[in-house]
Amino acid sequence: MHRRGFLQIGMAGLLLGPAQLLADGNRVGHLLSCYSDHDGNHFLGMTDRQGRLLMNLQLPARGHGVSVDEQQRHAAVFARRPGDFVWIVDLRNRRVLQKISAAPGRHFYGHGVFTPAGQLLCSESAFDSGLGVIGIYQADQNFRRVGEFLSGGIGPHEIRLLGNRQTLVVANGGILTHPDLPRVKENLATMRPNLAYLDIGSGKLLHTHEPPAQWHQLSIRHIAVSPDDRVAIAMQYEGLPYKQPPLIALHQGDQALKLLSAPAKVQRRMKNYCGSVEFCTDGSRFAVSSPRGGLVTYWSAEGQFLGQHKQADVCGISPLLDESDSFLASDGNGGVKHIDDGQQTVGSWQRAGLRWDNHMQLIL
Amino acid sequence: MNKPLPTLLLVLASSAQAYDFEAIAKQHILPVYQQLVEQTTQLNHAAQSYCAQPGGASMETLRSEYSDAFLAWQGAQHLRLGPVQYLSREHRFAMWPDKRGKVRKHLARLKQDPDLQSEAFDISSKSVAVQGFSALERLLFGNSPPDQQDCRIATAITGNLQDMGTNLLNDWSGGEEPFVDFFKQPSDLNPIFESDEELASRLLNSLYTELEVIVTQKLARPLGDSRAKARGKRAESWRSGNALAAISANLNASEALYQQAFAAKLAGTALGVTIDQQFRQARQTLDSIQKPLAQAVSDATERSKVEQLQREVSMLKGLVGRDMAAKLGLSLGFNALDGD
Repeated sequence: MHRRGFLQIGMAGLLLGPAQLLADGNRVGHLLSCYSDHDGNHFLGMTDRQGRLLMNLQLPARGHGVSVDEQQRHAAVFARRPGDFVWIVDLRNRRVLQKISAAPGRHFYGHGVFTPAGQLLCSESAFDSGLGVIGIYQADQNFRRVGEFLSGGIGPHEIRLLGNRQTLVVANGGILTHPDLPRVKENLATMRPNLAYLDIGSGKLLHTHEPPAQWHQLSIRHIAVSPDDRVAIAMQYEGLPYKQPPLIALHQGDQALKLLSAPAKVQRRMKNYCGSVEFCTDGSRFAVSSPRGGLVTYWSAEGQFLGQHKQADVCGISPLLDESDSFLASDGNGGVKHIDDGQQTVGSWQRAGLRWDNHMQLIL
Repeated sequence: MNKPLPTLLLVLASSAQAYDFEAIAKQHILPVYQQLVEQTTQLNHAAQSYCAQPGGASMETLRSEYSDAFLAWQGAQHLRLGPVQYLSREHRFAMWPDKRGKVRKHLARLKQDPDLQSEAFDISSKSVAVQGFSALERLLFGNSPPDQQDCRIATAITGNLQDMGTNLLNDWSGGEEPFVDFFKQPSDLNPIFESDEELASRLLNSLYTELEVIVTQKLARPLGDSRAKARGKRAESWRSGNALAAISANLNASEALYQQAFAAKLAGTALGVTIDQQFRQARQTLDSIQKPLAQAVSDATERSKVEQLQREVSMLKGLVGRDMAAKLGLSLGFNALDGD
């Protein structure tokens, strides 16, 4: 009953863009992803589903997340955490439209999201206070920074909107860094990550949810939202490597976090580290990549473990438009695999000499 | 089973020889950390003694103990896996490169910190930047000898270095869950290393990263694009004049790891011979540099030797990261090692 309910919402959500264009037959969408070459150059790339590179924009440093607005006109590519740039790309002419620099005292934390009201929200850190903030950029004012609100924690990373397009979900990873020492984690002993819900109109913190105290070093980094507002959470454990905490969680409404563990053998292989998480287009399943273990695990929307597939150095995950229960997974060896609803690889391609970075974004 | 001969041949081929991780730990890694514990302990004693003036150790003794301990750390820097990564230890030992002067800034801040005067002062709860060798070098190799307040910080740092060294070694070899137990036997049931290939790849990446740091940071930063643009003070540890000694320690340690972990698999191959030669060549070039790195990069004759060293280590990096990796079927990793 519930399931049917959210499937309908899911289809309604798609009517705005993808579904219409699907009707023309072959359009199955393109992919945006950051990548690096073996000489240490960094790019944003666009490929079609056959792996042909349609666009490559060289970035000043390693990129991370990519977001697209609802009209599919603009993409934003975010510098890797902690970064000093976000670039806006015009998807029609495939050129850089705007280069946003970090505001004084702020740096970008790798992800962001467009709102229906024509704003771009970016996860950022106010590095002197250590507090996480969400920066607000106005699209029709050349993406000028027009304000910010607190993220509800330290180290916000991935942010997404719920179906009402008004509530923002924030993965506050809990980890403090400073731009002087970009990759140094300063507060591992005392970190307290949370999942925060905020109202984007007022910036008001609605509610937050933390892992249990014994797992306070479970950094909440990446999240995905299903059509019925279930939040799937992919975490990274910063404590001792031989402990085996759950690394995945589900959350909905004002319930407590529901922590999920895979069967022991698979759980071990995840190496206490999850990369990307995405729901498939119909919202019935979600996939979580574990790059250190070289595997992707698959879960039902209710949190039941469904299976896994192995792929060395895998990280990027994308849903598919034309197969609403399947996924694509990209890796650091240039490979992209197409995984069906039985966790079987049904297609793959590879671009040698190129390393797909952590995240993929599907566009039309 | 009915065709035993090909199997036998495979086993005899040198590249099919199994990795002996236990030997790598016992003969290379644990001695490296043992040395670090000894040198940081001696440094701590010297600092305590110097600061307990009058009648304590001389400034010369303290500086010399500093250099010995710093170089012991340089000899451990190529091991970028396991307990050295717990609790940001590798950054707490030394903070370099320090592009924005964070060590100076946080040291100045610490000097104003009321906690410094308290009995319970604990430097391990302060900024990562002031906890290790980089901050200590500023205190010991400044224009004036350390005063009483400097001494309070310096002895806190040397105590912290000794503690970190001791805890690091203990995490490897002692306690209920010694890391060496995971390291010596990769398997399906091992939560850290699932297979020999995985652990060998981690060691390869560790080795490769060290060579890359030498090329792109330790040498490239002071070299700049040209002699006119050389920046000697971007050399690591230029205050104590240890920059080249540090690179030498890095190279020696990298070669020792290569010899212990990988050389046997390349025995009798042209690649094995080339890697040996390249290590030797790089060391010769390094030894031929006649001035401290901070000066050599702007010196008409010495600069070219530094550039040559950079090319040679870069070539070594390619031999290890590309050719050896391909030959042994190992992968450097990308997302797996430094994700987000």
